Amino acid sequence: MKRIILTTIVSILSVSTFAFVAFANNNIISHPNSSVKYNENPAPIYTANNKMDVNNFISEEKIIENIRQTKDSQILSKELKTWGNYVKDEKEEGTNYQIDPNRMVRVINIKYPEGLDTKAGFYKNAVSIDVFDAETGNLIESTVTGDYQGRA
Amino acid sequence: MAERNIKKKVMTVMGTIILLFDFNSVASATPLNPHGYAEQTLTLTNYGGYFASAYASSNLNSNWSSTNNSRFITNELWQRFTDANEWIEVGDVDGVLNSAYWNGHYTAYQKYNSSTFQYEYHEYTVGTKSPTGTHNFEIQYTGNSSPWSSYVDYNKAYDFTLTNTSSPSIDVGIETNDSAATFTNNIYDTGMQRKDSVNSWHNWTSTNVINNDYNSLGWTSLFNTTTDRITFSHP
Repeated sequence: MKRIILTTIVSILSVSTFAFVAFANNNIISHPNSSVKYNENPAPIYTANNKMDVNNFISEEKIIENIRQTKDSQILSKELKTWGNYVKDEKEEGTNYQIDPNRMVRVINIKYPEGLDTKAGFYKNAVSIDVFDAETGNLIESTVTGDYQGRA
Repeated sequence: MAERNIKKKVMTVMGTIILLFDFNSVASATPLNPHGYAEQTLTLTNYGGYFASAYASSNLNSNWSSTNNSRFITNELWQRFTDANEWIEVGDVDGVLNSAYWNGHYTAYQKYNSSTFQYEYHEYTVGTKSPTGTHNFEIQYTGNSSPWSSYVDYNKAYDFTLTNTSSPSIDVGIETNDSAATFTNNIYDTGMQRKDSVNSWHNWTSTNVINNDYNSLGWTSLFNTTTDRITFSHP
C-alpha cells in the first residue's frame, strides 16, 4: 500500500514538474515560426502630430529635467522639429520604424567636456544629441560622439 | 511625560537606524569601471542572432534616480563584428540610455564614422515604456542597402548601415555599470539561435558557447542545452 502511495506521489510530482517546465516554455514563441510573419514595415508607434497645437506638447524645461547633467555639461541647442527634418538635418543613415516623419520631436544637443560613460564605454569630450517625443516626452533616440576610449 | 520621552527616544533610535541604512546603501553603491557582465558567447561565424525572454524589463532594476542618473542594467543580445568596437544590440534596459532614462526594449549600435574619423554610439527606444510579458529579440543580416536589421516580436525596429557581411560571435546576457543595479534572481533567456549563410536558424549547442561572466558582484550566467536557457543568478 505504502509503495502504491509513494509511486503515485512521485508520478504526480514528475508530471507537475514537467507541466510547469512545459508551461513556462510555452510562453515562448518558437523561432522561426510559420504562424508568425515578420512585419518588415510596421506602423509607427509615434504617429504624425505636426498639426497639433504646440501647447499640447511637453515643455522644453520638463524634457531637459530628464537629461543627465553634470557640473560641466552645457546645453548647446534646443529645437522643436519634425522627425523627418531631424533625420535630414543630422543625415541619419539608418531607418527607425518607430516614428512617423511628421511626428514632432524635441532635439537637445548637450556637451560633456569631462566625458560620458555610455553602455559602449567612455567617450571623452562627448556630445550627445537626445531626441524626445514632443507629445509624450518619451526618449526616442540618443547619439553620442567624441573621443572613444574603448569598451568598458 | 515619561511616556513622551520614551516615544521620543524610540523615534530617535529608529531615525538613526533608517539614516544609517540609507547611508550604507548609498555608500555601498559604486560605479563599475569596467562594467559588469554576466553573459554567454557563441563563437561561430553567423548572420544573425535570436533570443527570447519571459522576463520583461521590470525584472531589471538599475536603481536609477534623478540624483543617480548614470546607472543602467540591460538584458540583451550583442551582434559582434571584426572591429571589436563595432556592434549592434537589442534587448531590454532599465536606466540611462546615454543621457536620459528608459525602461523597456531598445536597440543600439556603435560604428566608426570614416567621415568624422570617430566612433559614434546610437541608442533607440523600441515600443512603449515598461512592457510586460514575453518578448523575442533578433538581429539579422539582410544584405539590403542597410544590411542589418533588428526586430522585436517579429516587428522590424531599425535598419543599420554597418557594412559587415557576417558576424564572428554573438553575446547574450546582462550588463551593468553600477553595483546598485540588480535583477530578479534566476531569470533566464531562452531559445538562443544563430542564422547561417543560407538563412537557416540553429539552436546554440554547448560546443561553441563560452562563459564570459566578468563582474565583481558575484553575478553568474549558466547555459544549459537541455533546458535551452541562460539562467542568471546573484548572491
